[in-house]
Formats: sequence, C-alpha cells, structure tokens
Amino acid sequence: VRFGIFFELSVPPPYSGADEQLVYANALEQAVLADELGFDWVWSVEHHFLEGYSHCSAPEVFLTAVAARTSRIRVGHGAVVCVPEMNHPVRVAERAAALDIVSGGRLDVGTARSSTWTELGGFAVDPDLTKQTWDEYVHVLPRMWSGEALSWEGIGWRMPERRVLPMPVQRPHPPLWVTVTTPGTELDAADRGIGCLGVAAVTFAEQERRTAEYRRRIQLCDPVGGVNDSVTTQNFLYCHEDLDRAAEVGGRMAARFALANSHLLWTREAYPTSAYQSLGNLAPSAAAKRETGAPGDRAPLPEGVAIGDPARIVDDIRRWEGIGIDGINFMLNALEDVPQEDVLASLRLFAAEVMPKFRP
Amino acid sequence: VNVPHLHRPAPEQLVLEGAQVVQATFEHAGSSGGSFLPPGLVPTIPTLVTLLVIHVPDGPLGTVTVAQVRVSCRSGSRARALVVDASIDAAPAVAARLAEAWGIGGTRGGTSLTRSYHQVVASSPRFEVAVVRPHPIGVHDVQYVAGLHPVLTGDGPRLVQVELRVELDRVERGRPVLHRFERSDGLDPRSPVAATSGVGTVTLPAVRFVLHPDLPPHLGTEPAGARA
Repeated sequence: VRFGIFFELSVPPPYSGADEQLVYANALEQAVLADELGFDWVWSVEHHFLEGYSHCSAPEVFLTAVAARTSRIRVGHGAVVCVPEMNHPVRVAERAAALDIVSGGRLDVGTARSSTWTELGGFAVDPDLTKQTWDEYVHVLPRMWSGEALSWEGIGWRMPERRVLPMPVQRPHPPLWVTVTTPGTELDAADRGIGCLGVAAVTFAEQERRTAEYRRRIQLCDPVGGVNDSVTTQNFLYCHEDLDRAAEVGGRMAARFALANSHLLWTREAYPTSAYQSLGNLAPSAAAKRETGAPGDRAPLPEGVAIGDPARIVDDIRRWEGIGIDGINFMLNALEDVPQEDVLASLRLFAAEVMPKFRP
Repeated sequence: VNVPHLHRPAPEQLVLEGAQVVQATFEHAGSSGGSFLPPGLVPTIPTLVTLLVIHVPDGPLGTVTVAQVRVSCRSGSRARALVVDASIDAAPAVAARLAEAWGIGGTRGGTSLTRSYHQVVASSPRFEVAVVRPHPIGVHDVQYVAGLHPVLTGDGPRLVQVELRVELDRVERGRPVLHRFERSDGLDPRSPVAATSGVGTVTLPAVRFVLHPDLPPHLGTEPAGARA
C-alpha cells in the first residue's frame, strides 16, 4: 500500500489573510516532512468559493511550491475541475506539463467536475453537462500531451489545429485519475483506463465492491492514453502512542471536517438533475442514515479511520490492503484544529511504526 | 408573520394524493443570508431562496393550497429550509388543523397555481413565479429539503421540523422567472437556479422534533411527543 497526504487547505474563520498564510505554510512544512519520511504523494484539491472548507483555488501554484521544496514525493492534482467555464482544457494540459517538468516527472493528474452548487453556480455552469465535458477532457488531455497537432469541436469548447506545449516529462503522460464520490464513477474510470482517486468516506464492504468491479472492468477498457489501473481511498490520519489521546484529538478533527463538509451546498440540493445523485463526500447510504437520527446526533467515525495508536492503525490498514486498494491518502488536519507540532509528530510516528509494516 | 400556535404536534402522518408541487429556487443577492436565520441555524453559501407551492385539489382536507418562502440553512449538519413567509388557502377548520399540528400557517388567501402549454405560474400574496418551458426529468432528481416552521408554544417560540415527503409521478424542470416578490424585509431572490413542477403524493409526516431557534440542535432539540 502506498501512502499520500491530501490537502483541502481549510481555514478557520474569520478567514483573515494571516490565517490563510499560516495554513499554506503549515501544509508546505507537512509536505516537506512527508517527502523526508517516505510518503508517496502530496495531493491538493481545487475548490472555489468554499469559505472555510477549502481555500485551495489555485492548486497548481501550491503544488509547484511543494515540488520546489521536495525531491522524491509525487505531487498530485486531487483534482483539476474539468469544466470549461473553470479551466480551459488547453490551460489544464499546459499547466500540468509545466508542473511535470518543474517537478522532474513527479506529477499525477486527478480530474473532477465539482460537486457543489456554490462552485458550479459561481461559474454559471450547466450541471447537466459536466459529465460530458469531463469525458472530453480525459480523452483530449493525453492527445495534447503527446505533442501531436490536434483540433477539437467539443461541447463546451473548440480549437483549430494547434500543438499544445510544453510536453510533460513522463511518457506517455502523467498518470490520470478521476475523483470518485458518486457510485458508478469507478466504472467510468475503468472504461477509460484511468485511476480511481477515492475522496469519499466509504465502508470496507462498499470499497471492496467498487474495487472488485473496477478490477474486472478495466481488463476490457478502451484507454484514453497510458493505463493507470490504481485505486486509492481517502482517510484521516492522527497517530499517537496513547490511544485515548489519539481518539480525542483525531476524533475532534474528523468531526470538524465532517461538520464543515455538511455545510457545503451540494448541487443536488439546489439543482434537480440526474447528473448529481450523491451528496458530495457522503455516500447516499450515509446521508440517508444521518436523516433518521435526531437533529443533535453526532455522526460516528466511519470504519477504518486511521486515528489511533500505531497498532490500531496497522490493523485498519491491513483491512484496506486486504480488499485490494493500492494507496491511502490522509487528511492531516481540518480548520487547523490540530496544532502543527502534533500533526508533524503524528506523521513521524506513522512513518516510524506503521509505514514499515507495509513496505517490502 | 402570522406565526401559528403549535397545540398538538401531529402524531401521525397525513397522505395527500394528486398534489401539484411547484418549487422555484433563486440565490439571495448578497452575503446577508444569515440575517434571516435565528442563532441556532447556520447559513449556506450562497443562501438559496426557495418558493414552494403545494396545491391539493381534493382529498381528506378538501382543496388546499400552501405557499411558502424558504431560506436554505443547516441545523447542525443537516440540510434544512426555514420558512420565513407563508400563506394558505383552505377551509378554516383545515387551516387550523395544519397550523396546530404542523405549524403550517401564514396569511389566508391569495394563492394560485395555473398551468399553460409553455409555463406553470404559482403565486401568493408575497410572490409570483413561473416555471418557463418545462421539460420532463426523472422523478427522483428533485430534492425537497425538510422545512423548519416557526411556531409559538407555551415555552416560547420554536421551530417545527416537517420532513415533507414528495413521491412524484411526473415532474418537469424549467427556467424560474420571478414576476413579483415583496422585498421589504431585505430578502432578495436574484439569480435563478432551477424550477420544477410535479404531480404526486405529498406526505405530511408525524412531527418528530421541535427545535429551540436560539440553540444549536444538540442543545435545543425537543422530542415532539413531549408536547402531544
């Protein structure tokens, strides 16, 4: 199992410039340490207008800073929003290629289509079209990165024949992924030969089902470029020698993230469409279960969360490993709830006591 | 505005078949959406203003039309819509029953729902909105968020949580066009989002919870049964 760290760059209110600078500085320090400790990826999201939840609207800038400060760890878009109103596909290809060059061929490119009305509405996007435009992006990006001249007449954009430059270092191109929240997206990934970048809380059973379906289906794929047959999940990480302390600190962090997440305005809540069936990072079953409780009930931690002492986390990761995933990407903090020194200590302890159990 | 007294929270659900349901959603202009909410609720970004009209031509209550102006919010982690203005057309006894059991109240009279080939128009004393050029979509594509209805009780103001269930037989989505809206309180539905017009079964559920408007839900939730 490979391990990554995953940044939303959430900022506690009142969102002063100083708060944002601290969040970015802390994240960069965490990324540098993760590189030194042997983690495999640093991912960062792309979100717009999501006050508090994520102030990471220019991930290519943040990831460039990570690449400049590190030497080994891969840097990943988790993910680029593939909607023409937000990111023209040529600009996506150009920026990614440049980052692949700057990082020395360490880039992974996740793709997404945005889940919130806050973002789609802010860019006047038609939610009915985002799945189609995403599909165009994943087909055209590998062609742009190949160096061939191409023209395009698409749903949301057009281009007369041009060569898109520069070309990325990695050949045929940086690994492509798609973020998976809505059930069924793993099949879209498999059909196109791209990786599943899990960004939703799912159960062991649900992840096992999705992974098995993906593995079966990708055998028959019509790849959009180089095949990336990988599945990752997302998780929290707070590792501490004292189990109770870990549960207290990590549990509070996870709860704060869950609350901030639940305050987002999901597309389905605003705009009736079959194109958005799930409520963001909550699986439909979890969202339904939440509605049956009393208004004041707090949601329990999902199963398999890497919050605990090293032994407990090893056990959980063994279960994830057993269902066939290739990697786990950890969120280290939420709204700066955990002091930076504790985040760094958690990373060090994980690298010393947990990571070796999963390395040859 | 005509806040009803909650005398006896509904202990059982009430099923209303053949209901016509129009829901039109706009973004509130500006960042003041939170000013329409009591301290116990959290605003969404952006704030959505939803105009909801339910017309039941016949059934156990006779002919009833309810029109509400709702503001999107969160109660703890849950998506909710606070009713900030309402009106109702119904026989007096029916209106009284809806008010005392579910907190469905408001000004009396002035609601309507009309359909033509190219649009559906819904109106109340507060607004008139059209669903323009409607076209069919999936019956499961529309979400109706649970409402919070302001009421008065012997213990003071409260919010009744009404988890409206709408099972549609058919539904169309169109462009929402606001013909009229009374903005004197500052609520300003401006950017159109979407509008739907559907026909199906509306279920007013048994009331499970009553919320203190000034407290977060983990402190201010009261089981409705205690007030029965």
